[in-house]
Amino acid sequence: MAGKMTRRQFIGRGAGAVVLGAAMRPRATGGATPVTITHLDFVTPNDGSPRGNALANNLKAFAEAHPDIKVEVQTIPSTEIPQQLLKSTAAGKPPDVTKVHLPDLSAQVDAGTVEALDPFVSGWDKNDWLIGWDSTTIGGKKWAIPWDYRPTVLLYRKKILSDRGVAVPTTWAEVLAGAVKIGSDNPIGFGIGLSQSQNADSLAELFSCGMISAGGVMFNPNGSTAINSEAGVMTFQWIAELFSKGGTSKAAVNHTYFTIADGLAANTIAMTLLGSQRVAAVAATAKDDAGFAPPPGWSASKPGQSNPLSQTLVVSKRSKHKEEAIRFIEFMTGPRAAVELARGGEVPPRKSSYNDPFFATPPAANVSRLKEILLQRGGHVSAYPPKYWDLKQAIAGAAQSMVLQKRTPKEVLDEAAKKYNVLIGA
Amino acid sequence: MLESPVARHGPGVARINVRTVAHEWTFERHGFIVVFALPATLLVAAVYLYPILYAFWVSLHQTQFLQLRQFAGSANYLRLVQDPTVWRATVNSVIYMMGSVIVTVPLGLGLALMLNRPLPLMGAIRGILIVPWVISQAVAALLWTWLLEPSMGPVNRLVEVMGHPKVFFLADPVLAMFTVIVVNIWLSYPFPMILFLAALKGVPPELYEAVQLDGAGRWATFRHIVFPFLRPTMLSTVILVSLLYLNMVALIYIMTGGGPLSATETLAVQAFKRSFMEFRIGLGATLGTLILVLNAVFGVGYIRLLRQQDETIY
Repeated sequence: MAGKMTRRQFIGRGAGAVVLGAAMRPRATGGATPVTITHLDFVTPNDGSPRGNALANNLKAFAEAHPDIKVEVQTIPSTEIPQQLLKSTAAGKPPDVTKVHLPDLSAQVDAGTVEALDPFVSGWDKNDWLIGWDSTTIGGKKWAIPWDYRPTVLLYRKKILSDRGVAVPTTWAEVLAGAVKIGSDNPIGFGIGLSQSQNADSLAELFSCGMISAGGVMFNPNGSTAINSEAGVMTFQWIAELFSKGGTSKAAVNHTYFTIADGLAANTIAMTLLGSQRVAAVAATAKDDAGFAPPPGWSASKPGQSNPLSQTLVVSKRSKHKEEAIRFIEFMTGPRAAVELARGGEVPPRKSSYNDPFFATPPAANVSRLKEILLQRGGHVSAYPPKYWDLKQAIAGAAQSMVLQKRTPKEVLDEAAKKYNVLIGA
Repeated sequence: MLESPVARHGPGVARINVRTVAHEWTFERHGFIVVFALPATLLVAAVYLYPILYAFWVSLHQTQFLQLRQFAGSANYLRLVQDPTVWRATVNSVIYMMGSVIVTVPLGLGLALMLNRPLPLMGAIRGILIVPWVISQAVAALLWTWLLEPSMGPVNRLVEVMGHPKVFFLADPVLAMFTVIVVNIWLSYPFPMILFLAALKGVPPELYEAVQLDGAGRWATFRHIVFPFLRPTMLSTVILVSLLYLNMVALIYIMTGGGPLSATETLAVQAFKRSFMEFRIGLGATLGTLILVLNAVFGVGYIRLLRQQDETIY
């Protein structure tokens, strides 16, 4: 019958249709099937925080600019990222891109979890960075790209200071005097954390800032630590006096970076030294009452030096999508992402980013000022060694011993330095 | 229990039966037991035995981050034996464990006895009492850190209202250990409470009636009826919570980080720090093996006590 197909015709035409369909199907390499890369971060996209919103917006912008790359974000606390990168690498399933804190970078390089980026970034402008290109170079190789810079700044609550007649301090002596005037309890004059948990970051940042402001160095040329130098002892003496004169609470022995930031936001701490990334977080709660200033110096004539840290982006050595990972990093550290990054309170790393008109507007005022502090006061620690975590623990333990057991700064710092130097075999 | 051969015929009969059964074991008659037990045995071996053996293997090596380097034999063990911080952590572990057990178990027992009596709003009381058990260690640690915070914590506010100076619960070495033990007791008392309550439900009501007819008071009832029934549960509870406390990391680490001055650094916390903060996985595995030995000592003690108890009863 006309119009009716035989079985042979049906099979033949069906096969033809399948072949034609397959031939007409877009190829995977043509971009229809995106490559999926994983990104390990401590910021949760769209969590309602300024930086969470910023990350979400930048991920969206990246997806629009690079439809051939899909990014899956895995979020864990920042203090757990180093171990997670090590563990996932050992398990053979590392994230393609990970956000690594600058002091933790050398340990990851030592462990062989990250890829040297030199072949991928040879065409990049090495002079377009607020801090030298070599800040993330170890052993002559480039291992990470800075995602932000975070100079240490003095954060304070304006009303507490004005109510007590304390001017914004510019020297360590003024900070101490102001803290003592405010007192040790609700509000605490100066927030400091001697706890060894959360990587002992609170004390480490304050201590390194005090040391380099005094002209000291954290490490000798042979890798041994110089924390027990005159500069280190001077900084510890200041901490001892802060406790003994009542400028901080005894509870500070157990305080951490996060509890101090929370205390400042909750108005129970008047002043503290933290990384610049905390400026926006505190301002989100304290609004106009939150203030910040450059780090204090040891004398009026010698301005304090900040110790700028950085969150960096690395590519896993075992990543199967290194090219895509680099494209993601280039976008997230580049001018297009910088505006959102600044809205989230971070200091974008590339000079060219600041050409965007946004940085001339009031919402960018804080970030622009932080950038200036970074450029003007950016004295910094030399390369962080792989065992920096151990040194931070030793410093925190020494400070606890000094405060609780009433030992001298020199005594406890000598002990801590010896412990670290034995550990590294120096 | 009352339906067991021991209850029906006495211990002598039960022993003979067990021996007879043991002699008459044949694959045809009992092979299915092996077949049924094999998957679970393999699963347990994979989940527990392999990691234990691997950890022991790691402890015999020098390591760099998570990678094994050369075989080191007993070097890690010798190093730890010579390390005073390990001995201090061992003492801290025992203090933490004992301090928690001697309060948690009697507290759990007391609450179970209370819940075993008819009380108004029993469901609500039971629900409230069990709440700490469903809270994770991390959440409990954060909650109590805030409660005890000297500047804004409500506990210190209460202390001040009562006319006392502020207490720095987590900033003083002695007080910090005491505090983490108290928080641990709060967190874990529902576990023995539930176990004891389940055991109490197994006491036949007619036994209570019988002793009451004999004129026994509350204490005599507890001593002669309730306590013998609870003994096996009590022993297993003591061992279970002891092992739980010896292995506890999150609660202590989040509350104090092991400080101040390492006053709350237990073996488990030290193993965690060495493995995942210092990345000395070899030393961490060695400490893990040491904890395993401590656990085994308690486990063997538990089994021996149970055997002694069996002999006493039968």
